[in-house]
Amino acid sequence: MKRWPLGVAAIAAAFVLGFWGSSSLPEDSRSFELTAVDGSALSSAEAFSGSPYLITFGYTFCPDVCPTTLAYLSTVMEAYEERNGERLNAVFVSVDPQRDTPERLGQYVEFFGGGIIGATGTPEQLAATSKTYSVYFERVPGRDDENYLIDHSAGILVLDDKHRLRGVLREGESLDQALGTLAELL
Amino acid sequence: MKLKALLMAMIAVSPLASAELSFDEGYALQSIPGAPNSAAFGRFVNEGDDDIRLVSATSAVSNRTELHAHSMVDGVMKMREVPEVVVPAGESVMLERGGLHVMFLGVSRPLAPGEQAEFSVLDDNGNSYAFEVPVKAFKRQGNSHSHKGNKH
Repeated sequence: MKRWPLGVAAIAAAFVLGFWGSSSLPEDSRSFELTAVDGSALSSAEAFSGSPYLITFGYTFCPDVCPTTLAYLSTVMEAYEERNGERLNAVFVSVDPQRDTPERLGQYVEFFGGGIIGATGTPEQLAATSKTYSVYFERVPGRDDENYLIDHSAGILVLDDKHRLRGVLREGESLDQALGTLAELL
Repeated sequence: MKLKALLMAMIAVSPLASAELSFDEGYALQSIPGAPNSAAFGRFVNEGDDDIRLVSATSAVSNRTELHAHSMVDGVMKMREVPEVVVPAGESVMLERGGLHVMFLGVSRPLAPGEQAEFSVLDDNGNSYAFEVPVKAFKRQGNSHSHKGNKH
């Protein structure tokens, strides 16, 4: 293999970095580094490059509100695709990596259809992600160590093609309302 | 303590205490793959002359059963066990989606639509009220089309 002189490599690197820099995401963009349900790394900047996406936070332990939100999200995604002819990306982030293994999370998101992507991460990754997306979550004790609960921000965040946070969809709004919001924001 | 013993004895012989409390429009949600828990919803109706204070729940379908409430505070969803659910005399209390529910923690096997789920609630006098509710499929809202045939 031909070895490039160091100087040429440096110029090439500077060029590549400069190019990336010029097309990189704006300062107020949001991004996460998490783990997908197959165990691979999931980076929002790479996975959704140039596309808008939706993101919501929860945990599978939650029997009612999280499933309702995901069912709503999947319905919105299908309707969006029907209306616009293109798919929206959507991520469900479990803030409970201790109980929500990638395998369980995968089964869970698959149930709702619509191609919702499941993701979770280390406590550090999740803390960083929640800070970046301005969401809140906190573990609260249950009756025993196994059955702790987690308070978490509700709603589905809408990010545009430059990954700027543009608004929130709320489960309970009509489908037309949600599509109207998306049309306005994206 | 004597009084308590006497009360317990009276309760033990009081016939059909459970007839006073019914659970209408009850159902449990089917288990979602990968999810450990489920919940039951419906309406407690107290047809008796005294308030009923429900303080705990049990069920064969789960490792633990608790009375829970959801609340949304400043955009944050919180779920908590509640110390009691009071069903006033002659009134009813609704357990509905996003609110109060009977929480099945750690279902022993997945609850499938069409099955029955039994649970009991206990009041502060030690009365137990047993109910059986159907397991309902988790329905997505809106119209979902499995075959859209979209052209791109």
